[in-house]
Amino acid sequence: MGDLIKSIPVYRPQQQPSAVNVSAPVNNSAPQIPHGQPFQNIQNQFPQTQTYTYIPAKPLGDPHNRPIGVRPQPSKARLVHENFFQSIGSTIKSYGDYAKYFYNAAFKGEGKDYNVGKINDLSIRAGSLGIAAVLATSKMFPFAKGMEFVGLGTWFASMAIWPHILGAPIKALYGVNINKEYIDSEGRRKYVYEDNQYRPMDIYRYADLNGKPLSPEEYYQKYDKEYVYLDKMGDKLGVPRNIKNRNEATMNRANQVAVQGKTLWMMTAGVMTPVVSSIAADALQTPLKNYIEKTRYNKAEAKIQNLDKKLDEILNSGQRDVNKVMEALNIQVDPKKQAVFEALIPKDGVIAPKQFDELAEYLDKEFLGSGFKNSMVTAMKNGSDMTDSKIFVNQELKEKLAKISSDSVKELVAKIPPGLKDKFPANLFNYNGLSIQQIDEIAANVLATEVGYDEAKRITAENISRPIGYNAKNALMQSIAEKTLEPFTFDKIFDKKKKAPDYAPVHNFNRALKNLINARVKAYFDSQKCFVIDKTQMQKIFNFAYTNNELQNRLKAFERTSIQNISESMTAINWERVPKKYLKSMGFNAGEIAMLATQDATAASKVLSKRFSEIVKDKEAYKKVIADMSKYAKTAISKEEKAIIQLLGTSDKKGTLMKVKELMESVAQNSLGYNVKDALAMHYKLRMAELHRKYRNTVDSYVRPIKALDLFKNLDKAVNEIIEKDSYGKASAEAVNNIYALAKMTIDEKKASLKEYLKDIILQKNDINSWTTKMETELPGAKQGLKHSLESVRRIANQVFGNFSDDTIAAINDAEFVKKCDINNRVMKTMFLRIKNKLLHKYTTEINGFYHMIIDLMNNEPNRLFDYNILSGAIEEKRLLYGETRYREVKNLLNKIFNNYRNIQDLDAVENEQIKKDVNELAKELDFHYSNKAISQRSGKNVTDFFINAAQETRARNKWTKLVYGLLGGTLAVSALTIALMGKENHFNKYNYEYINTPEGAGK
Amino acid sequence: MVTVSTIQNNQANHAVPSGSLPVISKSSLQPGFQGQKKLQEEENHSLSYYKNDIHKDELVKKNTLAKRIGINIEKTLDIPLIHFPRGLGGAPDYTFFEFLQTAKFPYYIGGPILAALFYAGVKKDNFRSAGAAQKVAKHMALGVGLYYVGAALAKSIINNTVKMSRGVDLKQPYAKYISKSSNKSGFFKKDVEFHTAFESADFTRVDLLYNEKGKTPEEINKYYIEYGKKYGIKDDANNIDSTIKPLIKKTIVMARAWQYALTAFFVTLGVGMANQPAWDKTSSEGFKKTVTEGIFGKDIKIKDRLHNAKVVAYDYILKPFGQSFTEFWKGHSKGSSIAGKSVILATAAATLTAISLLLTKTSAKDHKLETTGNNKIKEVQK
Repeated sequence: MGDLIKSIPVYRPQQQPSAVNVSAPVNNSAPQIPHGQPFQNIQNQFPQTQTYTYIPAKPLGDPHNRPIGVRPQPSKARLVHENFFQSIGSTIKSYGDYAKYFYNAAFKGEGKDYNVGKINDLSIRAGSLGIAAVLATSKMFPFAKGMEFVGLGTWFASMAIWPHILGAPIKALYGVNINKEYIDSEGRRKYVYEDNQYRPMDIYRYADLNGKPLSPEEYYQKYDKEYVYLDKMGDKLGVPRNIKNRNEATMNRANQVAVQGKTLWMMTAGVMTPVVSSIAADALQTPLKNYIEKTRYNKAEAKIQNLDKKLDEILNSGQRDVNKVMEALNIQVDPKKQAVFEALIPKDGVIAPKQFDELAEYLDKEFLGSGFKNSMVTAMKNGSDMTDSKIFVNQELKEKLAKISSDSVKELVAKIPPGLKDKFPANLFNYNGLSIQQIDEIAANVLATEVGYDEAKRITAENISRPIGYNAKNALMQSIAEKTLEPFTFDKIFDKKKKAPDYAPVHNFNRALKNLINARVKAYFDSQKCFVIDKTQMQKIFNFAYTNNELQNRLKAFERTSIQNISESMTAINWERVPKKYLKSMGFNAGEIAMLATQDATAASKVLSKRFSEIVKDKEAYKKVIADMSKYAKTAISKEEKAIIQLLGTSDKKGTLMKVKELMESVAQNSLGYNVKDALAMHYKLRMAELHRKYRNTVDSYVRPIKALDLFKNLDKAVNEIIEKDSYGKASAEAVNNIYALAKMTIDEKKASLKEYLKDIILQKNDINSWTTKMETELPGAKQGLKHSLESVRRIANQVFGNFSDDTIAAINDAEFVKKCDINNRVMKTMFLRIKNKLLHKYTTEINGFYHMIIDLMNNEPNRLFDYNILSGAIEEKRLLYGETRYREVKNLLNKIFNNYRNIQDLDAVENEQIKKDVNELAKELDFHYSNKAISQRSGKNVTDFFINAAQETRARNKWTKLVYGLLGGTLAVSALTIALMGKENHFNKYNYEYINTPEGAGK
Repeated sequence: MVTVSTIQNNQANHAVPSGSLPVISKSSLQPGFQGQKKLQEEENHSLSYYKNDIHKDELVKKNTLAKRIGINIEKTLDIPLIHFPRGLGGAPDYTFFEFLQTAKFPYYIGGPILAALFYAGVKKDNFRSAGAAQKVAKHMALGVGLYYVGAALAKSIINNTVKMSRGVDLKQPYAKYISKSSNKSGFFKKDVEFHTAFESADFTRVDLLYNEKGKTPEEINKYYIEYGKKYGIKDDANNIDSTIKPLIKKTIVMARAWQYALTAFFVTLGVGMANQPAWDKTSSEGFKKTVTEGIFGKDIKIKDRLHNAKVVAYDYILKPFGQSFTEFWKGHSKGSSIAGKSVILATAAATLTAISLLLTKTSAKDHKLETTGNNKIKEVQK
């Protein structure tokens, strides 16, 4: 009986013939087997002809207790139960599958809706990756590039995470996991609640209480009935236990919740994906920026240190040949540039003056930068000879000579004084010089001396271009002058009235004309001279220029990551972060920040002034703000300092830039001569000065707010010092009258006005014009302002750029940093005062500020060499002005100060006097004149701008924060409310249950 | 050997409300093709005859752009007005189609919201940064805009290729009628949903492609004969439908795959172009003014309006569009030049590959036709 039932064919549609299980015993209905042959035999015989599309189903099992008939094969679907890492693994794996789906669909047209849908997922991700890549390449800097990918990553992450965030409370409240997946019989991953009309209840049959699928054996070891998971879910959903078909009721209720949850998901995803992505990307910004800053700097530092090492080796080895130096530095000339260079040099090495100029221009522009051309040309000429000029007798030459003849005559005739005109023959005044025919004749005659008369005639007649030799050239020159003079010889200018010739004017005229023509013809001949250049020497110059350029590039690459004011450099990152921290530590409220961000500088400085005044009133607050600010300033400054030391070095160790300078100068001297060396020296000195100034600016920018607070705190004292004491601290009754503008005020008025004035100038722009203008605004009627009060400028500068007060020093609590700030303030003061202003010029030469500055610098090792360099840079800058002798004197003076007076404390009174003298002399010497504008650029950022910028940044960020967290909060609230209302009876869902008596019956 | 899916999508209309197993509809077991048409007709007939409130599904014959726009507007409005309320209520008859419709919502609002969030965080309190912020905003808005344009272009290239070469209009809408009376929670639910006939490869509505009014096989299979011409099949009018159907399925799968793939290329191209400086030459203020005051303003001569429309179309849109393409190709640095060139070339290559594959692989010439049995049914074998 069993066999009979097993022989009943049950059909199942089979779509892929490949899936036909050939090896399985196939027992088709007996009558179809011809001649009683077993079916398998036939199949083995004709393996290629599997034309049938159906295979019998598996036997249905025990016929006694199972219904007989058509029945699908059991489902192989299985719930997915994965932890976080497993799900990442399967996600990665699934993208591989999606790629296969794409291949099959796009190239073969095979696939189903499921597969095609997955291709869409793949393509959205690929497209987004493409967009990120394109946007990243459009960005200039690594952080901006990186953020494109971070943005992409957070976008997809938040897209993936949001349904899980929504799903968690839904699962906790109702036991329904809207993100639950299963793998269907065909191995496709799907969401259990994907299609509301398709409810695969079977997959829960052997799921344990946590939703983990078990094999039936395992399951029955733990539980005695099926669907325990659905039971639990039903309890959570509040489905009564004593109803019929409870599982079905639970599934219905679960699907209700799932539809609700997924609709909520779709309603909120459009908002939450960008919001969460934005928040996540923002959170990642700082670590990414830090990481990139650090790796970029370390990389650049390693490179420059490597360069430093190589420079040391070369300098020690004494190698000064440019080609060898190139080799040692591993510099290879770019073939493209070499080709351009070679194209500028003719093969025979003979080069016309114009081309010679072009070559010099090219080297100057392409490699060394402006200002080198003259020295370059000298070096080039050193390596070249001049050829004799090559003159061809041809039409061009003839025209040129005709023009010289005619122009010269006209020029001189115009110069004849009117009174003398009657002494010259009349025909001279409308004489046009030689004609072409006349020159033809001359040329033919000249040529005849070289080639004979007949040949010359032929050449002239046929207008052939022919070079002529030295003698012929001279003859040509002479003949042109003589021939031009021919029409008016002496005998033709006999003065008939006086019966005697007056030779003098005519003689002079003739001589002048002859000289002029000769000079012009000669100049023309000379202009046809060529350079015969030494190619090796030219290549050397080119290589030198290239090497110098390449070294500059290597140094600049380091500067770009560190101290340059460009995106993503260390400096830029400091500027992005630190002012905001200052702003925060100052404790501005939102209204004040808005004022700072949106109003003009005057209004902004009022806000600042108010806030500063409030802070200094509260002792604790003052201490805290100063401590915070100095902490931020220290980190910001120390980074830049490190980079500067790398480039310029300290007194113990030369910096890389210094070494480059030394090497290139000595190579230049060795191969190209002093001219190039001197030009280079000037260039490098200026660069060093520039770097140093950059460092000073940075310190000034970050220290200025601290100094401002310090001044606000000690305003009374400052005012007293300005009004009542002189710069040496001695009380002086007449000192106050030196401040012209204040002279007519009472003492209280003076103090009040000065207070307002000081507040204003420390908060606003640090330039003398601004100071003067402000003086005039503060003291209406005193139109002459500061310009007429040298003493007041000095006193005010002493306060604005003075040392910190004791309170502030105590609050900063870092002697070294305080010292750094004080020195910087003094440098700034000196720079500030050294401007083109007659009064101030006098002032600079009078005060001892410079002396103090130098003394302090002597005691501060890292700064010592910097300032030595900046000063020697300043001397170098004035070299042309000084002349060589004076230049050496001043330089010696500088060296003397820096070398001899190091241990300044140990010097005796006489020596001290000597230093004072020396320093003052140097200070006088270096009183180079800068314009006001340059000075204001040299100082750091003014306090108001500093805070305006910080406020704008902060406000933009606050706006973003408000919007993002507003959207986040709003959406979360709406979601929470919606989730709380899920799974309840409503318009769409009416729960009518058929109760049974025994609650135990529920569940099956 | 590929057999034609015989599952009639009508079954989905009477969708399975619940159950422990996927229900295999009885029609899926029908082995033949010939009977199907008749059965279909009978079924439709009987449905509309006996139950007045149930209509049969039908193709939107007047498949014009205006009609499709109308349908799309209606479908879009349905998302917040019908699908969201029904979904939030957890309607038992909520369908997968409705879920897919709601999934379009985040797709369309996500990009603009991200752009808006980005713009909110940009400093714009001083003149310089305000100008820069405006530039950033413009590029972002353009990026979002050209993203959608790129996606639409990718789809339309494939749609047109398939329509011209095979006569299969992937956008062909059909109206699906939904019974209200059988549906207890009919509230919010309309009696008609617009789908497209070829939206599913598994359940393609090939049943709608018969000419119901026809009497002879030629008349009934009128559309299939037309498809046959395009596919390069000359077959018995009785059988042509069953020969065509697997080819249509294959066309759908291939076309959809390439639509998605090309979308990736074209959106990259679009965003890349939006990021070019060509768009900075004109101001969005000027654009707005020209449109609101120059074209739609009061008291303006028709001639001037036309001129302004031309200015908007050429100076503000076409010219920067063309320039941005060349700028994207050239790039402003080595990296961006490589990126621009490779995106443009890859897009072109992918488009050509897609078109050539669709033209060759879906053609009947690429398939071996063989006769299986006496009834002359031709099946298509790969």
